[in-house]
Amino acid sequence: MNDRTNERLPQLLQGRTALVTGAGGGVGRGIALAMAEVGANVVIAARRGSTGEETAGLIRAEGGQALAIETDVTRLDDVRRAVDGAVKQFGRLDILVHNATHGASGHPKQLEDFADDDWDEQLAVDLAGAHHCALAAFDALHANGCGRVMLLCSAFGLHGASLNPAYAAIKGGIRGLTKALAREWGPSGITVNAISPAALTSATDAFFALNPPLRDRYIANFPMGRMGREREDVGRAVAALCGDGLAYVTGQIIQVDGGLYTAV
Amino acid sequence: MTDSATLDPHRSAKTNRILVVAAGFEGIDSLKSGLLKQSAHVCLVTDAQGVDSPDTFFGADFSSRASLAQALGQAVARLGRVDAVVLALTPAAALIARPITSMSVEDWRKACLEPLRLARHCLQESFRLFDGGTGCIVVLGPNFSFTGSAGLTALSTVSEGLRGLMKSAARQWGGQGIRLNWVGVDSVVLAPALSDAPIPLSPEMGPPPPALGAAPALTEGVAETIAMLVDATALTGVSLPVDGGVWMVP
Repeated sequence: MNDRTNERLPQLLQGRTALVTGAGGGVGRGIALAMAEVGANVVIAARRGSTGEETAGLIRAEGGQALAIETDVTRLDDVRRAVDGAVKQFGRLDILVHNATHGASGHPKQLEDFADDDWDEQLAVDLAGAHHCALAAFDALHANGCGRVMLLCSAFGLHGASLNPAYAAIKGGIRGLTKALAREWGPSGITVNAISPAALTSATDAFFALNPPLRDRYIANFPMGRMGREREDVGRAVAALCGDGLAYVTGQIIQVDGGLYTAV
Repeated sequence: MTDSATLDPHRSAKTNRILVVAAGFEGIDSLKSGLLKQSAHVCLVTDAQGVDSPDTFFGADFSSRASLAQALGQAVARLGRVDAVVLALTPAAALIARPITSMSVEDWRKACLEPLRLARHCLQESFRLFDGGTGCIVVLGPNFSFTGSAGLTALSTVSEGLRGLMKSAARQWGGQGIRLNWVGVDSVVLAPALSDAPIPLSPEMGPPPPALGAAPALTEGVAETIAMLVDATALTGVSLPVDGGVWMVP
């Protein structure tokens, strides 16, 4: 692999402030680190304060600016508090990344077996959470005239993965929301896009650990021969998409998956 | 003769028994008559108010899976067996065009989360009705699902969420011979309440779409497509825009 990922990156987001939900670990942490790496002040909105502080600490250790705010995205008040905290600390909010997803979303389950509680809990994080983010962040994003919203989709929502129907519904829903919100907020100068990443995270690792042959079979599908890295591959793609060079891109679901899903 | 009688028994080698589940859906009469024209036996369960006929059950309670099961039970008793289930779910709360920032948490719950929950219940109960056998589920949705629409963030989320769910179920249940497909009906044909919504026009610069000159009606093109899908044993997980040729995706 021709890896130039340690080179200093252009400061695409210098002076901007980004809020990333679910940034206490996994892809969310990768996005937060990548945002900070290109100059953004980053607000880490994580459900558990300790993991949020960890991410913020990693950013600060690299010389970046970060603020951790304990945030349960299923609570509108929490999300409002995070947005208010971003504006208070850094004076503005330019970028919102709604990455948080439910921990059970990667657990295999038959559709006929879903009970209301399980279903509702999963939808609350992604879909109610997305609504809360929209409510809480619109004014701040609009105020700067160049707001960016990035939602997290998944190939599971595109091809309707059999693994977990709730996750397929959620990520399909995020796709629909991305397109509709892009049309709604375009006149306000806010772009809305989604990425559909395929990253090797602790969650995917845990899943594959239960079935190593599945891992090999799955990874063989990637034209680039590997799954993505949280920060270098997924995070940096999000950071780039939030830069000024892509200010005219909106309403798109962009695959950040090493070529896995080319059927769009 | 009841209105479930086969109008043209020679038109199809097999007379399908189709259960239509309609929530907030105004086109029940049109869809039903269209399916009857396709030689189907049709039974309809709707939350609309009306006087029950032998094959239409009004006033169904879709607020929980148990009440849905109860409502469907009446229809199944009428049909005997079910070959296909058609879902026409257009809950009123999701059809209101409004900015997302004007929607309270409760509004979002009613317009987005509850319709998705109902859709899941419908799929789960359909699966149960097939009782280990084969079957077909056709999900009707608005064709703007492919593009999104300002003012309809909740409905866009529901519609694309349901399409993702449909595909996932198609994968899970395909081995049992249960097929699921999605039909993208012209948005206003599906839900006249959307006539004032800012649904995006096709970017086509020639004659205005649809290419066929008109959006297919529930009684004709839509019912015809449903009948085709019920018999199309090789199709599952498919999304078919039945809108006369507007966006022409994929």
